[in-house]
Order: sequence, then C-alpha cells, then structure tokens
Amino acid sequence: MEGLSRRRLVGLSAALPLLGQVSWAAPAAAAAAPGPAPVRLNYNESPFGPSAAA
Amino acid sequence: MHQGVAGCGRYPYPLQYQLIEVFARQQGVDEDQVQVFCGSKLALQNAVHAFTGPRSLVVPEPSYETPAQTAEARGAKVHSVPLNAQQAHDVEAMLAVDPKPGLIYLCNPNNPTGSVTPAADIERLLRKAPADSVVVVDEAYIHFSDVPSCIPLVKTHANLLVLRTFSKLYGMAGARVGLAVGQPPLLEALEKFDGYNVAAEPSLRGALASLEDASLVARRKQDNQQLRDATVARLSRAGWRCTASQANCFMVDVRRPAEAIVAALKEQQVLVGRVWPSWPTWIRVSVGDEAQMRRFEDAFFRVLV
Repeated sequence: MEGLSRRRLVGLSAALPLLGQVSWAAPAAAAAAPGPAPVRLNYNESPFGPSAAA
Repeated sequence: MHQGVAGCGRYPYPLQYQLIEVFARQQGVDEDQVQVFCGSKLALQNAVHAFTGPRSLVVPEPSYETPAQTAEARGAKVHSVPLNAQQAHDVEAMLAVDPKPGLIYLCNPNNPTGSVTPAADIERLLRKAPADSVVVVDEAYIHFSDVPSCIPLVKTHANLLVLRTFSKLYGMAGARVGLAVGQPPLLEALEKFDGYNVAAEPSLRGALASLEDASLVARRKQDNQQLRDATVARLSRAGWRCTASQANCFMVDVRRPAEAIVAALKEQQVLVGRVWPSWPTWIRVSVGDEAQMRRFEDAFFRVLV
C-alpha cells in the first residue's frame, strides 16, 4: 500500500461496494457454460451402482 | 438399502449374521469361517497388522498398494516380486524371496493389470509356503473372471485367507462392505484390530440383496467383458498394447511417461487410474458403461495422436 496516495485509497474504497455489486449482479449468461461431467474411470467402481433389488 | 436408513439408530448385528449365513451357505463353508468388514480393504490392513512386523510381507508388482503401504507404515520389510511374462503372479519367485514371510499377498485377478494367475500356481504356492506364513488371496475382481475361487481351499489350508468385496461387480463401493473367509483362528487374529465391528444397515441390506439377486453376477460379468474386450480390441488394432484383463480394469502402454497422459486425459474430462512406478508408461483404465468407454476412446485418440 505504500505506493498509493491518500486520494487513490479513498477512490478505491468508494469503488469497493460497486465491485461487490458487479460481482454479485453478474448475469448467469456471463458464467462459463458447464462442460460435460467428467468420466470417472479411475477407481474400478461399477458404473451401474447397487443391484436394483438393493 | 433405503429401508436400512431407518434402522441406523441401532447396531445391525442380526443383519450382519444373516449376511454371513447366506454367504457361507452359497459358498459351502462354515459360518465361523466368514467375517464381515467395512470394506475388504480393512480386512486386508488388519491382516497386515496381524501377521507382519518382525516378519515380512511378499507382494506382486504391480498390484494393489494397500498391503505394502500398511506394512511399510509398521516398519515391516516388503518384498516386491514382479509379475511373470504372462502377467501372472510369479509364485516361485514369491516363495524364494523370503523363506519365512509373515504374509504373502496375491490378487486374482490382479489390480491394476486385470491379469489372472492360474489356480494350479496358487495351489502350488499354498503347498510350498511355510504353514505359519499367512497367504491372502484378494478376490475383489473374481466375479468378472473365469478363474476358480480359492474359497473351497480354506477348509484344508489353515493359513489361507480369502477376501471378497461388494465394491466392484456389486456396485457398492461407497457402502463399504467386504468379507474375509478363513479358518476361525485367522479371523480372530483380524478381529484383534477390528473389535467385531459391524457394517451399516443400508450396506448390509444392499449386500444381502446382491447375493440374493440370482442373475446379477452373470449379467454384469457379460456386460463388463463385452465393453472391456471391445475397447481393448480397438486400442490393440491401433497398435496400443493392453494387458490381458479378466477384471473391470485394464492397462495400456502409452509408450511415454504415463503421468502426462493421465493429466492430458483429465483435461479432456476423462479420469483414468493412477500410475504404478514400476510400470511408468502404463495407464490403468476402469471399465465404465458404453457411453463412458466411447468418451474414453475419443479422448485417448485425441491425446495420443
């Protein structure tokens, strides 16, 4: 912080709530589209789960 | 299993005894030759605790790492014996590496290769091993294979412990139920570390239902075999060497450091198994369903052009 002037600090402080609003108000469309779920072939599990009778 | 949630306020010992009774009847052994554990991994770890320490552990390499990790944590000597040219356990070398080991571990079919060891080799090892060396045969993947179980040998071999799990073909990995089969003194030695613990009621109900589902093993074995062999055939035709697997996993030699390929496949949203340091250019692939295997193959051929 030692390189910042008092005026600059005040400016940053004033902008913080706005930054928060921007972050929280970001439209869902701006988020990265979810990719396909990972294929898990790493633990020798059954892809079919328990018997239907279970 | 849903029904079992309501019973979670009690220790479900009657259900555990019922599971033992059903399994013992199906396998033709006495009920006091079967014990339930919260996953066969726990039975295996308890066996290592019980029978190694001053005496050594003999394991195949590559194989399931848990017994070696447990023995090393106790400061026991571990002898790793490479699989033979047929990717089976080299039983003569395993017998020769230490004349008085505490425990000899076999995994049939073997994890991670899926390869099998002939029954005659295991019987020879049982005949030649010192009577006070415990032989553990881990049959976690036996349902996927055509190899005979070692459970009938328990009656005539006081030092044989066979492990079974509901985590693989039965699809209950997260429910944590496994079985140990052996003569009562061996099982009592394991219980010194387990305190006659009991599995959860939903898990026990799931295990019972699995044993009583008469067509489950044959159906899933066939589905797994079909998908595994089709994938291995396509990889082989493209020039990639695979292990001769009879399990729900196989290994592929990617002819370069395998860790990098595991990472590259992960970037393609395909997670494959860890790399064994003794086989640094091989990846282990579990067999999923048809769509998952198609995604694996697509990613594999994208990464390994």
